Amino acid sequence: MPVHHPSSDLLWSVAAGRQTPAVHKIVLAHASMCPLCRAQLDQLEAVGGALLEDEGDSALSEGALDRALVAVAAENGASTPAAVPDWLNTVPPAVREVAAEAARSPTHAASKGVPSFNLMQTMAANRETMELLRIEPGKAIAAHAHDGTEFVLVLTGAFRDQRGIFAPGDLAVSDMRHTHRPVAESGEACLALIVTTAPLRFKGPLGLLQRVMTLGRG
Amino acid sequence: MNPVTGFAARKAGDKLDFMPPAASQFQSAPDRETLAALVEAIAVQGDRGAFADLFRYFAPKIKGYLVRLGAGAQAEELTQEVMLTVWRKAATFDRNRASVSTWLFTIARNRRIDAVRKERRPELDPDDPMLVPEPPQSPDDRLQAIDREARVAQAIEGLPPEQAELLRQAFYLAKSHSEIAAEMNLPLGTVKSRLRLAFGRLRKVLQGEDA
Repeated sequence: MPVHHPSSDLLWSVAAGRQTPAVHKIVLAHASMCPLCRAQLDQLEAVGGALLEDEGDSALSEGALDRALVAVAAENGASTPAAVPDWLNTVPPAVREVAAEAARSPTHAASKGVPSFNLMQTMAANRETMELLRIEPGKAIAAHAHDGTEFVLVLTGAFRDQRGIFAPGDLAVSDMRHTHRPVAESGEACLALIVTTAPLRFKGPLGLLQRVMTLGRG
Repeated sequence: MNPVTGFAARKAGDKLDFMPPAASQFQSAPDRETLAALVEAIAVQGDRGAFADLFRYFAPKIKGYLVRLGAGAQAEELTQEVMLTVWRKAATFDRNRASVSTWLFTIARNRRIDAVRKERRPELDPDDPMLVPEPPQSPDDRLQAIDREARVAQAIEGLPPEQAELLRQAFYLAKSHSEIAAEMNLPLGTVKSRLRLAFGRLRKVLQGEDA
């Protein structure tokens, strides 16, 4: 059972659909691994359901139902699921849909020796990113701080930082006040889903490189 | 082939010659079991009549919800996508876990959020994580879930209309008290006290006390 959870404010905003896409997805992914948060979300979503039932009708255009029936008629029974790449089988089933996006995206390295999949490109409007990161046992991610908020959901293995150990299902939420240096525990590789609402600032040589590159782009 | 006059008139296999009646056949709001049976008929038999019934009842509400959230010209297309998702994912619906309204709310909510994303990155087309089947619940959990949903719905139905409207604004749109006050042309104190009443009532229900 996970021990690190999203705050109830965060759960409320996800239930109501008020979060940005990547944050929305990672909190739902946590809930799919956490019976406690799933139960809380069920309650909050029931509020949305009751409000929907109570919602005033907004007329659809002429022939909307006919178009829907045509679309439905074009469906060929159950859709066959896409082939699953091997690495995806190490991901808990409940978050495979989210992680599968990795297979369709270019890879990039966040830190030396840590191959990672960039799930979502940085978004122009809110500068949000989503990544799948694989940290080999005992390896670390360079110490970094945050301009925005970072969400890390552990899928397999575990990592440790100043705050303690994060195991599968745990959601670590860090804001700009923390500089942290996550280290994967020994044993199984740590696979984590990571969302940042603004780019990370790295400390040390990597940070210098990052600043130089940012200057070069600006 | 008998003319199809509504859900009760259909039977297994009776789906290919379905012609939708012009108006909804629900005389009053359908109950929870009726709606759940419609989704199950889609899952089990691919029942297009059941789909049409659901569409007539829910599509205008879903569009209303999406318009409220500012989907604008996209609202109609998104509503169609939501209803198509209902057809595709009907088998993942579990009446013991959530009401049809709640299930549809989460589909519409997630579709809208994906639409926000697709505007910037059109090649991604992920399924909703919400729709991945959940691990089975124990019978006790199921009874609790049904009971709790019914009580939430009852509590909201029982709110005076002005409290329900404020709750909707606060829940969907995360508007501040002063924004709501300005838009609805109400004194700030009135907005605050109405919201306090609405949330107070809801909180009691969510915490399992009597409303």
